[in-house]
Amino acid sequence: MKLNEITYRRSFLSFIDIKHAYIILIFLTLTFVSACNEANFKGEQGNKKPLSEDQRIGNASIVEEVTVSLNKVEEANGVADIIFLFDTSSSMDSERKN
Amino acid sequence: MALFLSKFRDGSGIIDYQVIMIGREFIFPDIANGRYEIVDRLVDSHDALSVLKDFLQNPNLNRLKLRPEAVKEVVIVSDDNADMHPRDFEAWIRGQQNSGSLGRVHINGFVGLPQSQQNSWCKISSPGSAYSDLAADPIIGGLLQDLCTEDWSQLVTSLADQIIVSNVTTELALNKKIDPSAPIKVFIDGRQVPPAHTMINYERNMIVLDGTVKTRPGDKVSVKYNSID
Repeated sequence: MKLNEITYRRSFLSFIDIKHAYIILIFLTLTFVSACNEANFKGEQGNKKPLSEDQRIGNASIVEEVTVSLNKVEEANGVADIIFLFDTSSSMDSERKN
Repeated sequence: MALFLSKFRDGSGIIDYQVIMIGREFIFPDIANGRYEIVDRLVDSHDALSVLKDFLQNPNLNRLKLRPEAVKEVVIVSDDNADMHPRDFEAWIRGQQNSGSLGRVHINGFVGLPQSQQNSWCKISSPGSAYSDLAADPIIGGLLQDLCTEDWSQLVTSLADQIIVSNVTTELALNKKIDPSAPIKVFIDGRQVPPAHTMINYERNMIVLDGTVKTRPGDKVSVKYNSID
């Protein structure tokens, strides 16, 4: 083997090594970034709690103060159907039954 | 009964009422009142809740029609217990309410209680524990009284007062359109009104407080809600 050929081979090998090293470095960097992102995402997910009723109502809610008016219109009349059921065998005396 | 009815005022009065008496072998007072009806139907020792279920499912067989907007104030008069489990009856009520075929219902009663004083004119076959359970429910509960109370005028007066109190509502109109998807909290003097006593009329954009919530003119009521405006 000639000296030139040896030099060429060495320089070629070192070129290959550097290229491999870059590829490995890039691969590792991408893997690391990807892992970090995933971990971060999972972390966010893990920490994400549903908003409590107070938070939901506190975030965008209106607090309105209403005064019970003197106007009786606001005090609505109730509507009631009153249904009595009398157990026939109930042992009340006749006077009370009637 | 006349005493009971006298507590309510007709038409524009406190309670727009109808009274339906279901039973057999009683001599019910014959009152000339278009808001009063006697239904001749047997209610046996243990089946008052079954009869009630059937009546609520077939309300149009009578002269007086049950009104969808009316609170059904049920009054059981019995010296015995129900054969239906109270939770089963409650589940049926809730099912009917969820399907929209029944509005608010309150269960009241004149029944035997563990402390009832039995005597020559009042004997209890069995305490009405099923009715006690239902009457204690925060949503459908009403007033339960001792069947063996000597003075029945006291019972009917208390019952009428309870019905008036739980049915005279306070309506409060809000300025912005209520978001139905968000919860609403109502406070009077800084204390939250239990949600069971708060109703929301989305159509009229109003908060309706039932009669158990005492309000006076001038009271400040804080309402926390989300708006869709």
